[in-house]
Amino acid sequence: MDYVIWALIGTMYGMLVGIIPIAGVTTALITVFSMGAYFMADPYLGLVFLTAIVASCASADSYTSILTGIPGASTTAACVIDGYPMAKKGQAARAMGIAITDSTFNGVIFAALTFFLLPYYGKIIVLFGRPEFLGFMTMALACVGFVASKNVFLSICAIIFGLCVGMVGEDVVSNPRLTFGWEYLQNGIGMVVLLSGLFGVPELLDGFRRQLKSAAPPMEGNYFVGLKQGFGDCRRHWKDMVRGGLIGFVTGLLPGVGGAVGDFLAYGATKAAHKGKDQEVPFGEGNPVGLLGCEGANNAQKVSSMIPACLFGIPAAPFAAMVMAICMYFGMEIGTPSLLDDLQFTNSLAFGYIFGTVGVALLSIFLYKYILKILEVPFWIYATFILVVIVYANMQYTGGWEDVALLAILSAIGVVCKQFNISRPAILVAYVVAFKIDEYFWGTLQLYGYKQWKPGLTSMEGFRWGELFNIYNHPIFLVCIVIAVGIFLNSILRKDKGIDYV
Amino acid sequence: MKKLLVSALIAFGLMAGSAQADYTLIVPQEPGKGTSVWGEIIAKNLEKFIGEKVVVRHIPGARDIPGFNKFHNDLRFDDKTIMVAHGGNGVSYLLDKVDYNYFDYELIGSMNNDIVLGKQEGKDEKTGTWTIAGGSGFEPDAAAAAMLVCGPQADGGSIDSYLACWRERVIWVNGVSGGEKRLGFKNGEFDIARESPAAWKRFYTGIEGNELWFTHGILDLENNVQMDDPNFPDTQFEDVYAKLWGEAPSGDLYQAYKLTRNWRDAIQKSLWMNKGNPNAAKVKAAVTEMINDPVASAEIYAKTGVYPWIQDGPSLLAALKSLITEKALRDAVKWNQEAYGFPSIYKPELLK
Repeated sequence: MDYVIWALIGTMYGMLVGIIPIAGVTTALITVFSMGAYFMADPYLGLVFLTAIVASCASADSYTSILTGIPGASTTAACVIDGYPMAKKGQAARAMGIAITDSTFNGVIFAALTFFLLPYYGKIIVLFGRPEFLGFMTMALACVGFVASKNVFLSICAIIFGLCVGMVGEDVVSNPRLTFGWEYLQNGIGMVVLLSGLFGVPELLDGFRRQLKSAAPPMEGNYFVGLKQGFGDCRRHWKDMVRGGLIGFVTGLLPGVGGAVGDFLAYGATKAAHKGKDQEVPFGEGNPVGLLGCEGANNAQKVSSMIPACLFGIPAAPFAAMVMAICMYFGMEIGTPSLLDDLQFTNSLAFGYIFGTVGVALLSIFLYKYILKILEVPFWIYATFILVVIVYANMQYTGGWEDVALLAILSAIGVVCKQFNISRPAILVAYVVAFKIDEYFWGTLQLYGYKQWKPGLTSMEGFRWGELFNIYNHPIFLVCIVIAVGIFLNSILRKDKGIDYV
Repeated sequence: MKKLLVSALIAFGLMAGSAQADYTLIVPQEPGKGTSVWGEIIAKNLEKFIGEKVVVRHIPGARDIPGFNKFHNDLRFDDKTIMVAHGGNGVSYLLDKVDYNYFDYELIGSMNNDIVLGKQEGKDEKTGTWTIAGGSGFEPDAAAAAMLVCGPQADGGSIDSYLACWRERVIWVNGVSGGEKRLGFKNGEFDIARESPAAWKRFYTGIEGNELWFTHGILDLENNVQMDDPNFPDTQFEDVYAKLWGEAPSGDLYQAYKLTRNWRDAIQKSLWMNKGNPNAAKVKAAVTEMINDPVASAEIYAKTGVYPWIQDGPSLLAALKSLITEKALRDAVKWNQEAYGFPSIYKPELLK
């Protein structure tokens, strides 16, 4: 019963934060971080709560995008393109019908596909040793830097900065590194404070600066008739809906690439599929097909992002990094076969996500009036609440002034990055892989002939290069390195094409 | 701007409020790590017996030293501050540059714990290369593994002879986290697994491909000798070594091993307050009640395994102090520096 209660609380909380413009899943998770200690006795209960938040917030973000034209989060920005014009034309209920059906369909289908197969994916990870992880981390880094941004120079800046932030703390033999004499930094920079500083606080400050007003335009006709019309649109155009979900699912699998990429790719694919065909309304002016083509991608991407996070400890999107941070707080070891073999772990994820997806749909159908009321609350009121909770969540680390000082520094950096379009997701993934690349690099060296390595030793004598680059011994390592090089070359040669994630 | 200012004020108000607690447990680790989780469990249970609110404050840092240093230099003078330390802090006390000194504190309670070492099933100690995932706090485990793999030495077991064998037959891989260690052991990258007793039972018991190699046993404080781990009988290092090599372990590395082993395991999970703290007796009594309470102890043992508590601080510290000799200390430092690459230092002041 506790599981149902906490899933319901998570669903309602996720929905509330999702409705708030700009505040997305990452913000929702940061604000509940301080509740971690409560779930220490039963971490699985905490997982159910978290995944319900992720699922419901992902859906509710779309509602805000459609109803107000302000993205509920960056990951639902594509929904604004056709969703908001529909709302402005008085078709808000129809657009909501599409959003609810599409989110629920893609959320449930891809959650089932992901979570029930997660233990089987776990068999893959046993094939990974130090060299394979080193190759995979290199590929992850290449993916995020060059797929995520069109501006190669700024991407490189973001990656270098992220790597430096990730290297802060200790080296592999526990010597302090890049701490600038500040003892507080000896344990590294935590995921929660980095996410709060890079994503949480800058978005709120931006909302304050823009003095956001988010009231929805008036709706014409009966709400339930409109909803039914939206359900009908989804039934008629089910292929577009499934395509969107599939695209979201695949982008969610790519380390660091998740987020808005899936939605915009799905929107582009839908447009391309209908090119030359007669449309009820042109794309971009309130076309229901445009909305349903991209809407479910967000939900599918959220769920598939959990795969690289659980398998390799590499977040596909900022929210997944937050899920990882909370799991680590619970003492769950991400990226290990024992965790993936733990059925209670995968069942908790599946239950929370599916409950959240279906729960938010039902709540949205019956509590629509209240969603509109929430949207009328001035931004500064809920933004104040969120800001306070973010500061409080970050103070759970040591409780000292250093927590707040570091949050302030990282928030300033986050604001600068936002202002100058420096890819914050690239910083995040570089930060995550930095220590891992370091660890796997030295581990590979030690295991492959350079076994007496220790700090200060530089000779490579005795290194068995042939063994490492033997395709029969380490095919995964070699494939990852080839892909990483391919991504790098592609980004150089085709930098003017594609989507600018930032 | 005005609204932003209001937000900031509320945030600071909240911060001030959150700082108020009756007792504070200082944990030298970030949330989620082993001793942090233990500290959370202790805080939650201790509250019931102490009758006041107990909160956990994490002060993490390299090798978990800065938090303990901060306690020593500053926080211990607060009458309601309790230090939560782990075995790694004990090893650092011997071999690293630290400010803290156990002899300045009063022991509130210490769990005399153990570490379990496993190996790939059927792997023969007397042949081949052995890979082990290393990390701080692993010093006695790897030293014992080296003795088992290398066996008795012609020169009686000097550090140099064991180092020569170590370089030849053992690969120590730095900086591997707990989960990755298990993965590496499962896919055969590492030959040796190293776990807390509870983790061993959870991850390895009943699973094919591994075997329990040895444990370190626990300290019998009354007789000042090492005895069998009650949870893993007949697995103590000395017994396993004697069975394998036909004689008892001896030599310089063995003495260094005993020093670091006991300074780690006898104070594996421990609570300390400043000497002369007026609340120490009250907290100690509350810990005694907590240990004897079936509900509270069940929750603690679920995390650590069932191991005895020690509350007789003077006897414990005297037993540990008796192991510190100049030779053992110098050898432990040399072994740490040359086998693991750790920046250990010799501290003659420990002999005083």
